[in-house]
Amino acid sequence: MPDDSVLLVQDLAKTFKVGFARKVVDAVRGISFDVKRGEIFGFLGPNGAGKTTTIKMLMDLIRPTAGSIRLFGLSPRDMTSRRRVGYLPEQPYFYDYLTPVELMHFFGSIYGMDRAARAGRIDKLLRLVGVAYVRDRSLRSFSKGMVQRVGLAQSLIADPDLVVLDEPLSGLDPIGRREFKDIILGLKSAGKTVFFSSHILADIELLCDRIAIIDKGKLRYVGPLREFVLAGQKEVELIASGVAPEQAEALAGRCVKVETLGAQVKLVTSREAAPGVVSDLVQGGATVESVVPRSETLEDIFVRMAAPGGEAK
Amino acid sequence: MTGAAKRIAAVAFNTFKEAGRNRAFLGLMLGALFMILASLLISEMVVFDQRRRVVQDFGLFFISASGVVISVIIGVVLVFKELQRKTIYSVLSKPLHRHEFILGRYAGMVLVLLTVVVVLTLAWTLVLHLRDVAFRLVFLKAVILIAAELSIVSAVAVLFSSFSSPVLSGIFTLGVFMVGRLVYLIEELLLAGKGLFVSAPQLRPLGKAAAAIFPDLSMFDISREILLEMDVPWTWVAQSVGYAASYVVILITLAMLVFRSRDFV
Repeated sequence: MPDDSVLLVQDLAKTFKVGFARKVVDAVRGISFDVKRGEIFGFLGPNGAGKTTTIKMLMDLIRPTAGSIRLFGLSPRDMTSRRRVGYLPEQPYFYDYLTPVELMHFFGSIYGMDRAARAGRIDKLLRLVGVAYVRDRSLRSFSKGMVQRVGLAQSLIADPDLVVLDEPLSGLDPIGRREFKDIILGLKSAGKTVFFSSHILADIELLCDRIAIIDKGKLRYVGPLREFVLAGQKEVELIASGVAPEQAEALAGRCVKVETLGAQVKLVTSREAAPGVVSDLVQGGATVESVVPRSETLEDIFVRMAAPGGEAK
Repeated sequence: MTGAAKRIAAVAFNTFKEAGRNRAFLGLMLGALFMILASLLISEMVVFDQRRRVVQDFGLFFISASGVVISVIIGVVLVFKELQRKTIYSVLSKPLHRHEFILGRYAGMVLVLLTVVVVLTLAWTLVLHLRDVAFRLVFLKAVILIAAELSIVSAVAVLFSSFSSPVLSGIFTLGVFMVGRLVYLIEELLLAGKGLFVSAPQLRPLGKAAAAIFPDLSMFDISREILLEMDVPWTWVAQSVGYAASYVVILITLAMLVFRSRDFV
């Protein structure tokens, strides 16, 4: 296991037998990736891609059919490794007869924290996630977003080194999403490692250092987010003014698109052809107003990859 | 206390808290309490020399019956609810072994049942006192035996609920309870020269299997001895408690094995 990896997944697979006919379903098909210390790692995929199954295997809630998982160099079944991990399940549901304080005392006691240590930590975390004002109210009366906040707080009760969050931003209002993002970035600043899944791509773009994309149980990409987004930057959009009609016509062959916008002309060309087009425009007496790389959004790439036969560029 | 004992205690205490805040449980408990107290009024309706017998029998019956119903409900519903509502994801992802979770759940249930038995016994003692019936040592033995029987019933409930739906688990658990209460009868019929197993010999293997597998719960029922004002030796109580403990160990071990291998999808 590399020194800087806190999580190493190798050839992980899970097969379920479902229904009366025991039909075999390959939920996860031999995936491999690692998560490095101190990074925010995004685990992306459409619904049913295998994200939650993978995360449950990391948490030892589901036993893999094949492959291995090492958390801090140990098996997820090892209590020493689990002690260093905090987990927020997807759409969490907690004991609704308890208050947030009681719930967190319960979880803290499982970690072997003494009462005084728990009390201080609970106070801090409930304030961090914004539910301190309902700390003694039964969870039964909580909205989905409030339960999600308690869920995040409980995942941090033992000050874990690795925080695994399954769809942490779902069920939250825009303010809640922003607060959660700040907390996740705060965890990174504090030296923690964050592994989180999402199908909301804008969140991943803002937060992650590296990502993995899973679709139909297979990994389609693992690596830095920036490289992945750059790979999607295939075109450049130029806006120029003073372009003679015959000049625009001459450039059309090297452009994907040429469009007249009043006194300006918009030209879309490949990244490779862009410098030559700019040069020709200038030499022809036109003024280049802007040169903007046209990036596919993560969403565009994701949709393309998820399409039948689609692959990462 | 070791780390494992602390974790088991945390789960047990949480189970106790859950039951204490469960309306169905509280309703059953209050219902049983009411019936024991109502035996005072019911005893007024019978002839004078039967009044003591009524409060005696009613008390023991309701301690036992409500204990069985509560152990089935807590055993089946609480464990299943944990799986259905997926609260178990948060618990088992913590540094807690799966067998510790089952042990904690079971210990919590036993704690709940002991509380039920103690509270109802106190109410029964009050009723006996008001009816001028002295609390005899054999009553205490009867209550200990009820608690031992309930420990088996709740272990059966935990085992079934670790892999089955609540309705089926409830039916299976009550089935085991009823067959268990009749094991002595099955054994007598197997030895008898006439009766079911003679007229239908093909059922004999089934009867032998039932007698061998199901716990003989009749040994925990000493209401007949109490009625006949006979004493029950402490050795009988000790043997019965040991018998219950053996069954609990087997049942909870099976539940732990089932839990150890299952996926929480």
